[in-house]
Amino acid sequence: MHFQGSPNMAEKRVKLISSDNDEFEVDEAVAFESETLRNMIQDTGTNVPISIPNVSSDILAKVLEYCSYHAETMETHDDKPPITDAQIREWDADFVDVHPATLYSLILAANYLNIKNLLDLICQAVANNIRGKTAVEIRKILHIQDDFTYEEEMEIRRETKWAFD
Amino acid sequence: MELHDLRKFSLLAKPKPQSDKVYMTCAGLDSNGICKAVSWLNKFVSKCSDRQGNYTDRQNVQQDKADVTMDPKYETERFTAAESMKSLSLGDEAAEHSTIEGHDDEMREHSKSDEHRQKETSERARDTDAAAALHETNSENTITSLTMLAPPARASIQQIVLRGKALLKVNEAPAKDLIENIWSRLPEEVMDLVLAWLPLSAFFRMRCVCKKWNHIISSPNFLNTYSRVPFRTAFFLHLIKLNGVLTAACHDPTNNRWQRLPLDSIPVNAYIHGGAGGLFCCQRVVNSFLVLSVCNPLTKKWRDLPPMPNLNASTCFVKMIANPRNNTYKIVRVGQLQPLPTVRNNGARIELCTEVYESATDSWGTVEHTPTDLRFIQGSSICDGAVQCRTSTTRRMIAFDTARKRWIEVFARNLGPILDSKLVDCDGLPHLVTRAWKGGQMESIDVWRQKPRFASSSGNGAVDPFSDVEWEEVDRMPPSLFRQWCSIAGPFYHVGVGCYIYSTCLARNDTKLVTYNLLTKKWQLVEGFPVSHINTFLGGYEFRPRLDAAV
Repeated sequence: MHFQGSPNMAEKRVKLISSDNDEFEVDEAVAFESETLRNMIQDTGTNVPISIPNVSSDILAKVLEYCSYHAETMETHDDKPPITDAQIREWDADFVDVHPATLYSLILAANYLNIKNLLDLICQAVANNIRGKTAVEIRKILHIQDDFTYEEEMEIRRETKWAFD
Repeated sequence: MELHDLRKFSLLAKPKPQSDKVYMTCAGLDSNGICKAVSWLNKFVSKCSDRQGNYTDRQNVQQDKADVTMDPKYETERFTAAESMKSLSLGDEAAEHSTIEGHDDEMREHSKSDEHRQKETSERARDTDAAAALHETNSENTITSLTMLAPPARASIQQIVLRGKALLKVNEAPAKDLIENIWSRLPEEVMDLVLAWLPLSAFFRMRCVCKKWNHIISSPNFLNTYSRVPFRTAFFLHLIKLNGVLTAACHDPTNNRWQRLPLDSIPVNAYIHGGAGGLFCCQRVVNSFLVLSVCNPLTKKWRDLPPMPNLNASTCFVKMIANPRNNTYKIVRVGQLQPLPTVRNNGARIELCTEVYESATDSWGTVEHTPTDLRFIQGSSICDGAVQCRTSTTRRMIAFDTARKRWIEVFARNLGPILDSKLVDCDGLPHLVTRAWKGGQMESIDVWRQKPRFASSSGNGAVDPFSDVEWEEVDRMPPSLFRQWCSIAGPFYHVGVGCYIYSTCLARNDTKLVTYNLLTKKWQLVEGFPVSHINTFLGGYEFRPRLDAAV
């Protein structure tokens, strides 16, 4: 007997449970985008649902959206043209175009789940967000105490000045 | 009123640009609920102010009355508070006044389909002026108002923000500024990663944020994170001496901006031979001996190399090869040995020597048989693990095999002995910039490219860097641009920077630069060259800044 589309037949499904007890079921390949989940699955197998106590369902949904898309880009289909790098970049840019609060939750989730590419993507987005800001603005945003004396700060400003007068 | 009740209270804590007011959209709350919410906020704010106690304009604020207004168009009650939440202490009364009975029933009805309504409201909220204001909100205002509300009870606000799903949806209206103070709670390794992604100029500006950030470039954890970040812009560096200090005019081809790179860590009497992997190799004379040193201008770390084997040989050229993967580098130095005094000058054989320094072992090695043509070197390029050198006298390139440490001649097909050609390094592919003549007049400049070599099918898959190479002409600068660029026939030089070739025409007051993008095949005149003193011009280089490059 010949199965059509057999490569996907062997695909295992993994159950994930968010902090607010919502259940998600994804392909193993999707979960494997996360280093943390990969380790867990390799320890416990795919039969046991994996609970992720510090990621809420809406954030987990978003993370899994990212993982599914990127797992998909790895696959090659004969009938579909492969997804180009430019398309992935565009998708990624869209993905991080969210409110800072969401971005913050995503960053924590990506850090906990150890999804390197997602973490890089978000950190880059945050860096782009603060790159134009002055030191004073950054202190305000991050609630950092200014621990320099006036002279010290002037000295560092002089040393690190990259602009032409 | 418990915290979780606030889920119904879509907290749109976004002030309008001028009014400094905080708007809240109350979806699915009847008037009773609003009263509760207001009184809860009261307590919350009075707690805040007790602890904080340093509100500005406290007197003024108290006189402003909070009011709750019904917006019939959107069927949502918008709660307007004055600049500080302090004013909410008067809010109870106001809230009661504003309750309109007619709408009360309607509100109750809506509260049945709570989920549905919240969704609707969140969609509408995008259309309301309050949401529209988000787009124009100036970051300064945003921060001020929020910091007043948030610091004393940071955790609880965060809980609110993170809890309500509906809230999240409302908040997904695109606000580009980082307005939440939640960022201060990022784990340190994540903050390191954010900093590592910053462009360099921004990174250096951030160093004066606090002492910890100032010292972050010497933190091993940060450097470890930093080395994982792959993309780094290559800069073009135009090195001059300005008021007796080494100064680099630094051009970023990706955003077409000039910056000044501080080079005060390099001694003024040092000659920079070039660099690789974020490091520079400099030469200077100490106690009448040549000393080669390596420095990272960003970290200002600096190290003298051990003495060369042929100390009395004058340097013809130095090429540095960096391996960012394991943070090591090699330096190839070709020197000309001084003819012995007993040999008559016309019979003196010119002899060159090659020495290779490896940072992994911190030692020099010597190489036999150095081709004497290398005296007339016109640029070098690193390709497939070999240093290719161009001398104008032959149809051949001379290449140095860094692994086996020997010189090999490589036949260059299609390439004649062109005078005044310069070999440049562009992303690992050698390019040649030559003069184009027409009727005895220099008409423009041409760019040639070495065709990439592919691994032979029979071999072990590796590219043989010493097989014959074929060259092809890829482009010519448009003659009109050439006349504009080279209006004064000053000396010019070419540098490969990433996928760009920088061609500079030096003139006393009017130095001009043209870039050629190898990918888009576009020539472009670079505006705003920031320095005019060419008599102190010291050289042009490619610089790939790396904070983690160890000397």
